[in-house]
Formats: sequence, C-alpha cells, structure tokens
Amino acid sequence: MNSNATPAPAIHLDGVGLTLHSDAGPVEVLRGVDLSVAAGETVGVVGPSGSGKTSLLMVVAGLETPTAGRVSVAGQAFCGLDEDALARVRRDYIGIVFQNFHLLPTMTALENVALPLEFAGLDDAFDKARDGLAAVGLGARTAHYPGQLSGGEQQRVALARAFAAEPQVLLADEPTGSLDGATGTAVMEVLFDLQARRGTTLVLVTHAPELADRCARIVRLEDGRIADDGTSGG
Amino acid sequence: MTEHRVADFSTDICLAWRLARRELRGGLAGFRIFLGSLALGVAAISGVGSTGEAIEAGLAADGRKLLGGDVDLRLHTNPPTSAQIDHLLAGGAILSAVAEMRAMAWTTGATTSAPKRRALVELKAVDKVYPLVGTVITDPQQPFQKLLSRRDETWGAVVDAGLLRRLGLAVGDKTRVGEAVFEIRATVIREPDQVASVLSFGPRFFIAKAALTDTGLVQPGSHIHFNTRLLLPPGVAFEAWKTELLSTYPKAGWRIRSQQEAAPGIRRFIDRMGLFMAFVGLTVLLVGGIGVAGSVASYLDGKTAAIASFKCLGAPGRLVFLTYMLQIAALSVVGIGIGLAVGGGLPFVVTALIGELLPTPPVAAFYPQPMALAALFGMVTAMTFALWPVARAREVPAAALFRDAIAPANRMPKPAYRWATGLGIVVLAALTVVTSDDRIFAAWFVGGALATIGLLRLGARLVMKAAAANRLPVGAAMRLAQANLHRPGAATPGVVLSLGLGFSALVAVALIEGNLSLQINERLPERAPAFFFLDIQPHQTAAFDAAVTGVSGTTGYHRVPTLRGRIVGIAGTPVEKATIDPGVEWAIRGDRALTFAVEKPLGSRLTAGAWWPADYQGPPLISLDARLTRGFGIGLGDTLTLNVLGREISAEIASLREIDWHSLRFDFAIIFAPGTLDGAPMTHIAAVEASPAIEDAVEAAATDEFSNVSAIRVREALEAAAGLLAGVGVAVRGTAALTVLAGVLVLAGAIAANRRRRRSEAVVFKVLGASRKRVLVVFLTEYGILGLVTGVLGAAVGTLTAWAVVRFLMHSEWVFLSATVASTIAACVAVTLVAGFAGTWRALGQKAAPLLRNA
Repeated sequence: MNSNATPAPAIHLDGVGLTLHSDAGPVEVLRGVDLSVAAGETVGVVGPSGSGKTSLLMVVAGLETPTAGRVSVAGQAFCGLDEDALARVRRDYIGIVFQNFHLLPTMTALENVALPLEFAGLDDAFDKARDGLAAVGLGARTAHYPGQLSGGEQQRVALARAFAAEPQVLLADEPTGSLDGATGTAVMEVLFDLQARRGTTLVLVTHAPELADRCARIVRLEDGRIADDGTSGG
Repeated sequence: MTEHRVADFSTDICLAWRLARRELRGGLAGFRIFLGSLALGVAAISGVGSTGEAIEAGLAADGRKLLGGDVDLRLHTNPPTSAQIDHLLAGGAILSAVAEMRAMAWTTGATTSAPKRRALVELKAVDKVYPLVGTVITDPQQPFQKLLSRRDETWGAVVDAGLLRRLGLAVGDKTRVGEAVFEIRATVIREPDQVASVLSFGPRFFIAKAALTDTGLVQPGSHIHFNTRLLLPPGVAFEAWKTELLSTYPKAGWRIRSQQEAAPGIRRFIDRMGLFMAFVGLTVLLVGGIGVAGSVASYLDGKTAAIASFKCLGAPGRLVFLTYMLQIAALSVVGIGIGLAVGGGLPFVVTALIGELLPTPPVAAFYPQPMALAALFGMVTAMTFALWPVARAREVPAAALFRDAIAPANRMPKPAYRWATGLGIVVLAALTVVTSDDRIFAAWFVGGALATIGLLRLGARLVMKAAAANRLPVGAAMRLAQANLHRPGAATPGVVLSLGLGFSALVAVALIEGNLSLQINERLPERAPAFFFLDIQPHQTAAFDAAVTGVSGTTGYHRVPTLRGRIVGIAGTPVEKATIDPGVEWAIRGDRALTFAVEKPLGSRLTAGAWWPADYQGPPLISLDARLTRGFGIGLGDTLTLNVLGREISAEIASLREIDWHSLRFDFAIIFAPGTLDGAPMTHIAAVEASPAIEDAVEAAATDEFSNVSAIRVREALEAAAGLLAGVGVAVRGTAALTVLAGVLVLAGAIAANRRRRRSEAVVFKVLGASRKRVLVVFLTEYGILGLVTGVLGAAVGTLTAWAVVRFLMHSEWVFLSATVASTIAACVAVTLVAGFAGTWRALGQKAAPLLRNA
C-alpha cells in the first residue's frame, strides 16, 4: 500500500442531481453536483434561498435519494441501499443538527442525547449522553424537557445528540437560524470546539458569511449547481 | 352595576357564540372521537331504556291476554268453593277455570315399539270457555275445545312439540298421565296466557278440565294451582271489586292479580335486567365522558395559537371559556342527536329481529321519556367532562400557551371551575340515583364507579411513577416504551382510565356470570340429589320408600311431609304494609312450602333460639331462615302469620337457622313444631342421590307404580337454568362489551391526538439511525405495555367488583376464574396493539425530508 496515497474522502458526490415533483411540475433542485470532502475537513455551504443547500445536505444524510449521480459517505456508497440501510449508515457515521433542533419534546435532554446510542445498542448510552451534555455545558439540565430549555440550550442538546455517537461526519443545517446573535455565536463555539477535538468532518449550511468563514472551505451553490468552491477567507 | 354585568354577560354570550360558530367552520373532523364517545353512551342509555319500555308496553298491551282475563284468582291445593263461584257469577263476571300442576307423561306402548318413556310435564287443565281472551294456536289448527274433547272414551291433549320429540311420539299417538290415557291431537304453537315464567320444568300438556279427575292426580294436598279467570262486567273497577271480594272472603287465601300484574315473573326479570343494563349504559357513557374530556383537551391543544391570539387581541379568559363551552354544547347536541337516533330506534330493531322469540312482542315505537333522560345524561356528562380542559385553557396566559404544547405546565382551573366540575359529578350521581328504579343499588353503582375510577387513576399514577423511577435493563425498544408510559402528555392516564373502566366492567360481568354458571354447572355439592319427587300421598309413603331405595346404588334417600302456605302477616303487620328487604321479597310472593319436624334437619345450623323438645305440644312455633328474619326486620319471639289452606296461623319464631341453599339439601325456610300442621292434608316430597347410570331405573321405580308422583331430574333442571343463564349472559356480556368499545374509542382518540407527535418521533428516530422495524417495535412495545398495564389494572378492579358482588350481594361462594381474567387481559393487549398499530403505521412510512424541510 502506498503511504502517500490520498485518503478516501469522508463525503463524495459524483454528478448528483435531484428532481423533486410538486403540483406545479418537476423542479430540478440539484444539477450535477460533484463534491469531495476530506476527513476532518470543515465545509461551509452558502448560497441564496432555493439554491439547493438543504437538499444537498439531505442527499448527503441519505434522507433524499438523488435522481442522478452517486453518493458515498465514510466509504459507504448509498447506491442501492434501502431506507433502513441508510438509517444504519446515519447511525454509524453521520450526525445531523437542524435549524429547528428536532428534539423530541416528550423526552428529557438526557434521553434525547442517549437516543442514537441506544439505537446503536450501547449499554452505557446514558453515561455517554451525560458526558455529552456536560461537554456542551448542560450537565445540570439533564432532566429538563426541551420546552423547559431556551433555544440556545435546545440547540446545544441537539449538538450533544449529534456528536453522541462520535460520527465521522457532522451535517449542520442553519444551526443558528433560530437563535439570536449572541446565543448563535455561543452555540457555534461549542460546535467548532467539538468538531476540532474529535476531528469530525463538518458540512455547515448557513446564510451567515461569518459562520461560513470559520470553515476551511466554502462551497457556493446557485441554482442547484456549485458556483464556487474555494478556501475560506476567514 | 348588576345590570352592567348582565349586559356584559349577554354581550359575551353573543360574541362567544359568533366566535364558536367561526371555529366550527372547520368542520367536525376533529370531533369524531368526541361525537362517537357521546353518541355511543347516549345510544346505550336510550337504547336500553327504550327497549325496556317497548317490552313493558308489549306486556301491558298483552296483559289481559297473558292473565287470561281482567282478573286472575289463584288458590293452591283446593279449587274455589261453589259458594265462592256463585258469588263471583252473581257479580256479573264471566268465569273460566284453569288448573295447573306438574305431572309425569308416559308412552303407553300401544302405538310405539319404543321402550316405555316418561317425562315431567307442566299440565294445564282448562274448562270449556278457555281461553277467555286470545286464541290458542295449534298445529293442526282446529277449534281448541274440540281438540281436548273426549272421543271414543279417550280424551284429547294438545302438547308442546318438545314432548313429542322426548317421548318419540307423533300427533295421533297416545300417552298416559296419571291414570288417564290421552290422544295427542295437536301441538301448541302459541298459548295466549303462557305464564311468562322464566324457567319451566317441562313441556306444556293441555287437557280438558273434566279429564283431570280421570287422571287421579287430584289428591288431598297435591301441588295444584287453581286459577279462576274473570271478565268483569263493563264499568266495574278492579280495585273496588277486589275490596268487595276480600271483605266477603277475607280468609279465602287467594292471590288476586289484575292485568297490570300479569306475568310478574317476567316483569321482575325485565326490571332487573333493565336495571343492570341501564348501569352498563351509564358505564358506557362514563367511559364516553373520558373520551369527551380527552378529545376536548386534544382539540384545545391544537387551538393554543387561536386562544393565544384571542387573548393577545384582548379577549378575556371568560370569553375564551364561553366560546369553547358553547362550541362543545353545540357539538354535544349533534352527538346526543346521533345517539338518540340509534338508541331510540333500537326497539324497532329488537322487534324485527327477536320480537317473536319474546313472551309478548315488544311495541316498537319511539319512547320520549328514556330518550329525554338519555339526552339529559349526555348533556350533563359532556359539559362536566369538557369543563376541566376548557377551564384549563381559560387560565393559561397567552405567552405560556406557546410553550405548553411541549411541556404542559401544571395548570389548575380556577376554584369556581373546579367547584363546577365537582357539581357536575354530583349532578350526574344524583341523576343516576334519582332516576333509578332501585336507588340503593344505584347508590352502590355510583359509589362503585367512583371507587373504580379512583383505583384506576391510582393504578395509572403508580405505574407512571414506577416507570419513571426505574429503568429496565433491556433493549432500547423496551426502555423507550417504558419511558413513554410516563412522559409528559403520555396516554397512560386516559387509556388506563377509559379502557380500564371498560375492561373492568367486562371482567366483572364475566366473573359474576362465570361464578353463577359454576354454581349451577360444576360446583354441585358432591352429594347433590339426583331427583326430587313431588306429590307422594301419605298412604303411599312406605311403598314409595321401598321402591326407590330398592334400586341398587341409591343413597341419601330423604322424605318429608309438606304443604303450602302463604305469609300474610309479619309481627302482626299485614304483609302488604310490612317493610321488606328486596332481597327476601321472594318469600312473600305466592305460596311457600312448609313442613313440620320433630328433630332439627340434618346439616341445619341454629344461629339463635333453641329447637323445640320432641314432645312439644304447645302453641304454634316455627324455626325460620335467619336471612328472612333480617329481611323482615324481626327476630326471636316475633310472630309470622301464614295462610294455610284458608286458615290463618300465627306462629312464634322459636329459632333461626342459617340455610345453605346451594347445598341442594332438603330444607325449608319455615319449619313448624309438631302439633300445628299434623292434621292438615299434605303430601310428601322426597329426594334421592343416584349416579346418572341408574337415573332411568330410579325414575321408573318411583313413577311406574305411583302414577301421581312427579319426578324432577335435578341435572336437567340445572341444565335448563344454565341454558337460560347462558342466554342472559350473552346479552349482558354483549352490552358490557359496549364499555370496551367506548374505551377503544377513547384509545383511538388518544392515539389520534398523538399522531403528529408519532410522525415526528418516527422521523427523528430514522434520522438518528433507527430502521422502520425498530420504530415499529418501539411503538408496538409501548402499546403492548400500555395494554398489559391497562388490562391488569382493569382486571384487578373488575375482579374486586365481582368478588364484592358475589360475596356480599349474592351471598355466594367466590371462585377466581383465572382463565376468564387472563383472556380479558390478553384481549386488552390485543385491542391496544391493534389500535396502536392502526393509528401509527402511517408514521412508519413517513418520509423524513418533507417533515424536516417544513419544520
């Protein structure tokens, strides 16, 4: 084996297209997207509304099936995988953070964080979840329900949950979109800190240039295509 | 000031109604469970009430026919005297005489090659004017009197078709009853005055009254009922006529019934069934009330934004409350209307389906009284159960409403609304008691229902606490399911209460019925008699004893003298004026078997007083069933007055006995000391134990030689009782199953209310790596546990209820029927699983992306 060989990318998209069907007719959301993200790399995805940022993230997460092209994450090719197999890929390799947190309202913070670990069959799911919450500064709020937490705290729980299973890839979709500036900044500090400590590959969809600038690489999407792919100026 | 308040309130009402109407524009889709729950409860109550009224109306309409005239005079053992007959005729009445007794019918062997067969029959000897009212329908249909007439020295008989099957005979064959031979000329299809007795010992056997003498069955002391039916002259009022008759013959001892009192046995049976069914109906409504509360709460949860908007725009809490209460009231009218349409129409369905099978066809009609009562119950229930969730919504500050959906705060309505809810419950309870025919029973029902609700709520709370406090060391699915039992907004309390209430009612009914069946079928005392023999004449006793005990294998033979008498006075008070516990009313209905004894009967236990000396010759003394003294409110030293063969005898109560009637041992509620009855014409009754293998031989020995003796096979009588009970059981369990249906509606409501949550849960589970199978397992495990918990709690409460009823109301031995309970719990789990799966399977197929995009 050649030790100088390029390591396999954490994310690889090859000619990915996505056409969604609506009452108004088919809409081409992604058009021939080629993207390769190396392990540990941080990528900010920017672009105007409707440019396909969230769709790109959904495709990488295996939540949307591309109508063209191929996708692989952490060496796992998505092609031919059914819904359940894709769920297993997410369980083992991918963490996701949403703008609206998507915490389960009837579960405590601890239970929310423990969930992916339980799905993975870990015996110490709750111990790890507790550590995860402590890592995001919520060690004292384990028994609180999402409704009893502020927006920033909820997003930190979501971060703890996303990082709980130590995924190789973290996908974040406008993680500060529902937060005020100061809270958003604080949450992003936590996100980048965790990412840096664990060497997680990060794909961050955002409208905020200053957040994108914190990534090593910025990909600009326009009309479903990659219009620009370069290093961050930040 | 007051005027302003009135004006404000009036304005609020108008505005609230406008707002309510706007809210209702969204249609009734969100109110299916509300409407279903309310409609089912109202349908159950109005259906039970209307059907009862229809049957009562049928009985009333046919009262004259069932009674056989305007009046029925009944005497036991002896027919009315000629002076009495003359007196009745002098008043202008038209008379018809009917005698009824039990007897044995035999094949004669003349026209059949089959071995000699015999059967106990209900013999009815009628005079030439019978029936005074109505027509006897026979097959072949011929003039009834002609069928019974004597032809070529042989009397005719019209019999129940069942007897022909039993004896292997056909119309045209001959059969013997007593000393007389009868030619069977037709079978009876419909008997106008069929005594609507719930249980009979044998098939009907009609003969002419003149033929009765030829049978030789009319012996001194024989158990014969002599009925004299009368058609009163026009314009004669029954009560006045009765008063005159009683003043002329104060001690004749007849039982006088008007057409309003026809078929008292059936009427009592229908009343008791109606009472029980009414309580089942109320339980259905109660479960429906929980459904109402759940669906209103769920609806208001979905209206938080609207309520918040109202409040932000300046609407006071009172207006919010009025708006939604008016909306609930309007919807209640719709639900109640649906329920009334179904329940009120039930008499038409019952009449069409089983009208012909009933003693008298019900009168199919809409009965306003039970429908109005059901509507009232429905409205009070809907308002009471809706009040709490609406009052909670009223109290929520607009700002808090936005977060409440996620983490409901521990809100309580204002004290006034809490009081109003309490008042609603009191009104419901009072309405239940006041409108019931048996208020004591109704009060027990209310108490029992409240206790059941309390126990189920407590059970649900304990289960939730236990689920919250302990984490099961098992897989994720089990742990998530366990956790879902106690989460905020968990379905546990609602489902445990509603479905638990339904299943507890079902378990209670099944266990009570099971215990009753067991008493009859399987728990026969080890040494139960195989036969009871009636009408053994005093001169036959020695020969009869020898004949029966001569059959090899018979044991426990026992014979006692008996005659009939009627209780007419209790401690000096005429029985009509005495206060008597309903539980012992049977003792004053008609004649009771009496006996006298020197020695205390074997196995009897004296609880008070002392048995008389063997040579006692003083004033009349009796030993009485202790339960009767309690029911009559009397004790040792008091007197009981009995009319025996037209003579009134007042006897002092010398001792009390506890009698175990379930033992089927020979015993009598009233036993006289020697001396009082010794000279009275009486017959003997006997009992003997025998294995089924020798029953035919015993019957032959007892009846071949003694044609006047009737043999009752205990096994067959119990089988007939068991068959009747089984039929009643099906009807009762069917009605009780409605409570489960109501519970399932509530469960469906709870599942529907959580559907949105389920969908997002399923999506998040998938995002976090759970397969569809895993999501399904989580959901089904949750519903399985919920069903199991509900089933166990419902079974526990139902078992407790059944135990209390069997032990303290029926005074029977209690047997825990584990299979019944286990199958009910299994049914509860199955129902919950099916409902849970039906309500959540769509969530499994929920695509993640659209939900995540739109969130």
